[in-house]
Amino acid sequence: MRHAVVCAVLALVAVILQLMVMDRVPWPGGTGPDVALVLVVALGLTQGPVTGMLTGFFTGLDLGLAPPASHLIGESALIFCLVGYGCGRLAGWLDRSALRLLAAALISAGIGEMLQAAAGMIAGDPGVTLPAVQHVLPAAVLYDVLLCPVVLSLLALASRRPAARQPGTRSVRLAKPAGMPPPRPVALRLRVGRAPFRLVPPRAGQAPKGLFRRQVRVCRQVPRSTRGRSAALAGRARASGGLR
Amino acid sequence: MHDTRRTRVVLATLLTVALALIATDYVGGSAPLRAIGGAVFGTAERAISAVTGPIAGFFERGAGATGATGAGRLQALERQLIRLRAKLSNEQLNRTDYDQLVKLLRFTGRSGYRIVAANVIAVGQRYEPAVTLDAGSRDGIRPEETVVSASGLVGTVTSVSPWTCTVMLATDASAVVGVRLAGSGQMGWVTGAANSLAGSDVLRLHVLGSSSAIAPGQQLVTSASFGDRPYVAGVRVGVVTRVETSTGLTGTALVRPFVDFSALDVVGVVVTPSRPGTGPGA
Repeated sequence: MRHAVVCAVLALVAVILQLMVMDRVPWPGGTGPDVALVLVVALGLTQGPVTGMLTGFFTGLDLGLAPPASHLIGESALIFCLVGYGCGRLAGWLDRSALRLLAAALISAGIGEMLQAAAGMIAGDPGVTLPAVQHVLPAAVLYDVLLCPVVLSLLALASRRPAARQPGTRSVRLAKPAGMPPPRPVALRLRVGRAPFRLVPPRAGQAPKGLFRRQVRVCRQVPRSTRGRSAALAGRARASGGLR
Repeated sequence: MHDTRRTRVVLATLLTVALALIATDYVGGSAPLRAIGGAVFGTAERAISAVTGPIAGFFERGAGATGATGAGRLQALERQLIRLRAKLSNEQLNRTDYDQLVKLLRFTGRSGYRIVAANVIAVGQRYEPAVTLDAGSRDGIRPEETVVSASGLVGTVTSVSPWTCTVMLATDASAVVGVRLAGSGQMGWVTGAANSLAGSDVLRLHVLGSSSAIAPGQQLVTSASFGDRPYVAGVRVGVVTRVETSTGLTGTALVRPFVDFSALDVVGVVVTPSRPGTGPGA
């Protein structure tokens, strides 16, 4: 619940910023970045599908309701929700690589922009024609991708402090044995000092080479996340054994 | 990678709600939702612009404060400004706003319109040429009223909330403005061109008959419409730049609007046009 409220507030801020600041600037190329879409992509890629979906839904809803909008009310909500979900699924593929993160951002922003244009065409908006879309799309995606690292680093700054203050939420998530653990905000840690070196787990059967030798050596010491999970599992097993 | 049950439930719920919203809006049942959204977001936008406006205005004024004006002219302008401020009821006009408003006032005096001045506070997204103004039904604005700026036609009001109103710009592809060609007096209509997103906003003029009657450089003004809605007569629209070879029944030409739609700031809403004889029976 609190999670959803945070997503809604972030979405509201992004939409207000979009309509009152970004769209008023006469950007070269005819269009500017879509802050709302970039926020959804960044949150989906770093925080997982649920956060991505919730932020996408609220952002789209706000975009449909805020005054100058003239498209159908749920249209953006549907698109942004799907984009947020897709980004959350991509998070597993990122594998802590900054390059892959950028590629994922590019793909997601492109798909998001294309879906929006397609929805406008399907809804019969006379302003969304093929020449207009062809003209706007490249500049729009370029601006979105350029804005993405900015939003990612802002999110990293914002998410570091609450994470330190409340370790409880994360440890609960990690202790969940069913299914995959939710993707950790690993990409954010790439930018923050030496933290990722301790997080990267060693790959079985792969010889350490080149630049990554030091990384792997550090990682051979017990990785933090694995230790937490195994400890929790051991605790659970002990508890259940005791009950029997 | 597999989804957890929670992920699937959240996704299904959100998609269902979104589809329900789309369906509701499609069949036209979203008026109350739009009204609530307009009231809430419009009020928020206006409140934010009321806070950030003076800050931006302070910096702009600091940059342009050295420009000296003749004392006599300044006095005359100040007299006009006092009248304007009574209508505007705000003190946050910066210097550029001031100049624009003086022009607007001259325009008003010439055509006999009553105009509520307003600021643009939000702009529509990519494929939506629309803006939100910080004046609403509490300022006497109703739907389908003409919006002008100092240089010419801006658009028409499409929806009104208590504190804000939404304006469909003339560059919108679905906007149709009846026009008269200055000089020849030929009638026609202007729509937003599909490539209006190409930076320079372009309108497309259609006239009945062949396009041979149109010449580049001709100016367009709005023609009269019943009850002065959605466009009052006699507002300058733009100038013909290029005549296209006509293929069908209508001749077409490209029109450069007088208004710079990418830099809209202070505009005026024509609130109660003088319309004698257009009562219910007339």
